[in-house]
Amino acid sequence: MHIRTSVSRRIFLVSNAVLLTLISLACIAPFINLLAVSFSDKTAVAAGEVTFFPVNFTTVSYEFITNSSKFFDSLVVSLKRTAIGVPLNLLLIIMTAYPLSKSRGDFRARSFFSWFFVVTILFNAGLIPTYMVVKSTDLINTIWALLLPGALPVFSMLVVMNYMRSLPKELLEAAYIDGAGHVQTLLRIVLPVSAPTIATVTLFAFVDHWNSWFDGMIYMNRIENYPLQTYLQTVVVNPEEFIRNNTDLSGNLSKYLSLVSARTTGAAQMFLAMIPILCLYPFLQKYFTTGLVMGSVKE
Amino acid sequence: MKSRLALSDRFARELPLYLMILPAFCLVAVYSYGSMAGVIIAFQKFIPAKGMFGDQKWIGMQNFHTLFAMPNIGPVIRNTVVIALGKIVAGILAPVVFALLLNEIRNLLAKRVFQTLVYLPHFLSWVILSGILINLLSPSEGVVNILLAKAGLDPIFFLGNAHAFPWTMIVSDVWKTFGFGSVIYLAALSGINPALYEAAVIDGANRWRQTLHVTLPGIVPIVVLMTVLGFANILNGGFDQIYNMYSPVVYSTGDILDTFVFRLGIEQAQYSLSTAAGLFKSGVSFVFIVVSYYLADKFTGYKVF
Amino acid sequence: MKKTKASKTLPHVLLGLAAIVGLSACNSGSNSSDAGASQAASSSAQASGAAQPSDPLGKYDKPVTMSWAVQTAAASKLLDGESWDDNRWSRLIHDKLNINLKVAFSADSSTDAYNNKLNAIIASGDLPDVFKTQDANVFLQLAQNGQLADLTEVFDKYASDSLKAYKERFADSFKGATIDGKLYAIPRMNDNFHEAPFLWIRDDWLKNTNSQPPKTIEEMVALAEKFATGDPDGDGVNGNTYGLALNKDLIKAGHGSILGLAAAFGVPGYDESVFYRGADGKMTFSWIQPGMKDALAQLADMYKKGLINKEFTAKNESALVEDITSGKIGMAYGNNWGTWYPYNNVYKKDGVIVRPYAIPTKAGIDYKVGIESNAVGQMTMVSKDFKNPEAAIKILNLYDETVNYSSKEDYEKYWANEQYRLSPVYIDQPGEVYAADILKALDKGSPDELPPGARPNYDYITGFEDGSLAKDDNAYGNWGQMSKSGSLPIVLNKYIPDQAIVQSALGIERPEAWLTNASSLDTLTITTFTDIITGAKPADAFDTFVKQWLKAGGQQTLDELDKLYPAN
Repeated sequence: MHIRTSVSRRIFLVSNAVLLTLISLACIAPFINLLAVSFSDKTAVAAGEVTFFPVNFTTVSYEFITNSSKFFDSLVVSLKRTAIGVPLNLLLIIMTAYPLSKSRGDFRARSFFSWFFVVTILFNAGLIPTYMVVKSTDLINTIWALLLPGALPVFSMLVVMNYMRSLPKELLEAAYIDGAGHVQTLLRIVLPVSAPTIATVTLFAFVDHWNSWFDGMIYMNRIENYPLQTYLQTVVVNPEEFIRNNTDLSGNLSKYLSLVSARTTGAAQMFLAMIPILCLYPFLQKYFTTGLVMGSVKE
Repeated sequence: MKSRLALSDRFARELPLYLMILPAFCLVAVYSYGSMAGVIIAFQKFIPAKGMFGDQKWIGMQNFHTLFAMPNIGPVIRNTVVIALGKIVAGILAPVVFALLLNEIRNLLAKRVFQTLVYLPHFLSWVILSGILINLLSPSEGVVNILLAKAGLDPIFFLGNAHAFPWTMIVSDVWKTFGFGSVIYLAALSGINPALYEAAVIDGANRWRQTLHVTLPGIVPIVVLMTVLGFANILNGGFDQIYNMYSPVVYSTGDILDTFVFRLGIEQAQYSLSTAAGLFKSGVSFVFIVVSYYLADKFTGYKVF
Repeated sequence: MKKTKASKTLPHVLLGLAAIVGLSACNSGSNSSDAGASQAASSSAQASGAAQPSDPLGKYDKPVTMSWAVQTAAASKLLDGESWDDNRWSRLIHDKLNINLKVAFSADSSTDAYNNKLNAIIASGDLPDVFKTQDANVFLQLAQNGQLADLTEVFDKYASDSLKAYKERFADSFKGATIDGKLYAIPRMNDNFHEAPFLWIRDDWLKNTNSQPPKTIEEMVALAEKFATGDPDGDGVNGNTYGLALNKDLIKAGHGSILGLAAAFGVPGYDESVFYRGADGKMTFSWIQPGMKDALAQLADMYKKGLINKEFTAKNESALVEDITSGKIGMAYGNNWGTWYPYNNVYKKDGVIVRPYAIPTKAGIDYKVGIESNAVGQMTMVSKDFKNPEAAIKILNLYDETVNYSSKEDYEKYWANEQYRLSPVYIDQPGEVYAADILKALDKGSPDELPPGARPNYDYITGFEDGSLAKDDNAYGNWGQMSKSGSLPIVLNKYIPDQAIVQSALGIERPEAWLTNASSLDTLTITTFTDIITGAKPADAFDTFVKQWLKAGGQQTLDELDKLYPAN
């Protein structure tokens, strides 16, 4: 389908390209500014001179952070959380989605279980009761408080389930006739063809664990046990605290006081916390359309 | 005899399915249903020392009466709905427009680069985005106000002015979500039957007319669907975002049910009142979710589950 | 104490689950919560106390474990690689008393974090053995719910003579910690009039602008104008400095509050808590006084002229501190302890002294300084589930002996640099209470008649003045607080003789209407004041505010207070 490109069409195409470029820049400009601030001198930042390029380039903010155990303590908590949490999420998603993707004829309790899980989306008990249940299961101040209450992400499970349901029946029946049980069918047939949707929910699980801060604030009793985002939240709320806690004017950190500010060190910490996300999502991007859309929207 | 055999045979066949679902069942039973049982404290004068299912004093609906007599409950509900509505409307328009524009780009590499860039904010937490926005929007040091000043405009106190705050929340939310939100519309666009465009070309339609008569009708169902589903979120103003950016100065327009429930429960230790407020929110949300899912099914034949 | 038990709610389901995830569930059997629990707890405390010698400083034969809540705050930090679990105080307490401290939770007490955490923990019913709160409502609620140990008897039995003397000296504070005749907390032992506001000004800025410390509001405004538009910091740039510093919380005591300015207009404000009987004998509230309208109009005028940072609504107190340290701020209303924090940073960084002055006044108006009732303040509480409530008193004895009666080395090691906060129980800010004695001693030029606890303070002040301790943090802190040019003498020699101090009637018993509405009234007050100062609303909006305040629970609070604290 090719028609002669008219002048107005060409004008549109050019301005469209320009517009989209501007929109895209608007999406990443704040992060470039953040990066520039983290590598700039404190006075230049305070004077509002830093936009997209560092002014008086310096890595002193990053050096300052390396002197603080808090950032790295919480980084370790976050890494641990993601390392256990994401596989746990995936395991439960798959183990729940597969039975629920069966027809009622194949799994009679399907309706019951579907509603059982869906109700948790419809109705949320609220902060205090949830806290008390986590408390009564003795999870407070342990990493499991961040893992178990949300161990089954119901929305992701529904996405995977819908995807599995959309697979051609013949595929599964063939396996069944070959004498494969449910476990073999799941492992050998269903999972490989569900790769796009699994990739998508993996990314979601990762992003979710990496970005959660509220549960850390509520369930963790020790600041050392805060995951990264919870710790960063304290930095965002009370930016000067980080500087103060880490500067002992009589000690060797005093030289930093004239070089770093809450803004530059805050920017550096936020940028470091973004890196895992920056590294991951572009590579899983190609799965979004197939994995997400096929799983959630069927018409 | 035969049918009993079949029954046990059938159970044996289904057993692995039950076993598979069991762990998730247990966890959800404890953490979701267990805490649902805890909402009873909304009807009690709850004394923590006695335990959640201890011998608490039942006071019926009194917490709800107290709650609705509070002077700020009206504004809180209004703010919640206003901010959520703004986000729903803008959160549909922006991705649709973006998807339509992006669809006109024929260069695949450029398309992919645009997508990668606009997806970015979606994947970052509100903690980080708030930290960035607080600095960016600062009246004296923030880049935005520096640019405004260069353009000869007065600085705007985006986060400290009660008039500007809800708008700031809506716009920043759209900024975070529109890129990723466009995925679904791009998929719908790619699903439009090419034959329809060919027919339009034969009829002499230019690109603009094709957009009007083929593309837009092609994505109307999905837009309707997303709008309807959006209303399920009418009481979700966005806790993470607002909690990290608001302050008492903007409570009058920025305090939403979730932040209110949090302050009531955790900052003021009014456990029963807070749970009552949470229960109220859940109850109303439940109605909205059920209705919107019903409408989604009715208008577009889409079943969420 | 092995594992603190709370009533378990879903034991059966959970045990199964716990097995799955490999957690050890702690048993849930014995702990039924009944109304008589608090009596039971106090009698069992007696029983276990009886087994121990009641020597105030005696060491336990068997180790006792005590969990406590750590307030990590702006001003406190760990030194020498110590941790919250292992530090000078935890070792001292272990060595001297055989008590092992265990951190139950830690949170930043300079933001809402500590309060939030404590409230979540309270909701779960699983309190630390020893913990603190500044929130009188939390204390009251816990005491009335029977969650706190009754310390009456253990205090009488274990407190040293020195502590018992404090109890006499700070009778009001102990009264505040006593409910229905039972002592439920160790109160903050201090005189609240120390919390009066002062105007802090940088020496070098006064000099650079050729100015005198302002005595009147008009002079203060003129000085603010010089600071804001001139070049007080001498960096060659006019106008890159602030006139008068404000923080966004306005009415909360702290650096950059408006308490001092309001006081000049006859408004004795302090947080949201100053209720008092006005000239007509009726109960009234500080922030609805007519003088406040003029104070706000004054501030609005200053804001309009650019004498107040346009961005103050975004700055909390700790954000101001960065501006203070970086030398953008030269004048702010603030508390008595400015030379301890934050002006110690200015002194260390630039060698510049920031000095407190009596608040400037307004001609024709009697200034009034509001302070909280001595009955409220930080409370250190002991959970009723803690088997050894006397341990808290023993630690307090040890604290008092170590900090107040010991060598200067101990004082520096265990008190200075906010290290006293590492002790689960401490006497708030020792030394301040000696302000009057020290002033006399300084006049005489001899510390001989000072109580032992006040000697180190005296030495620091004289050391700072003769230059031998000029570089010492503690010397600067003490000097700014208790020397003749310090803050506390202003209270003793001016505010008190002028009869300007108004102590709030609001003690530990609180009207129901206030408990429910305090937070929304507080928000209403701050937002209205902010709007008027920034010009978003005219000063007349104050009249509407007063009506709103009275209607939204304020009038009811006043009526109930009138009955709770009758005029004598």
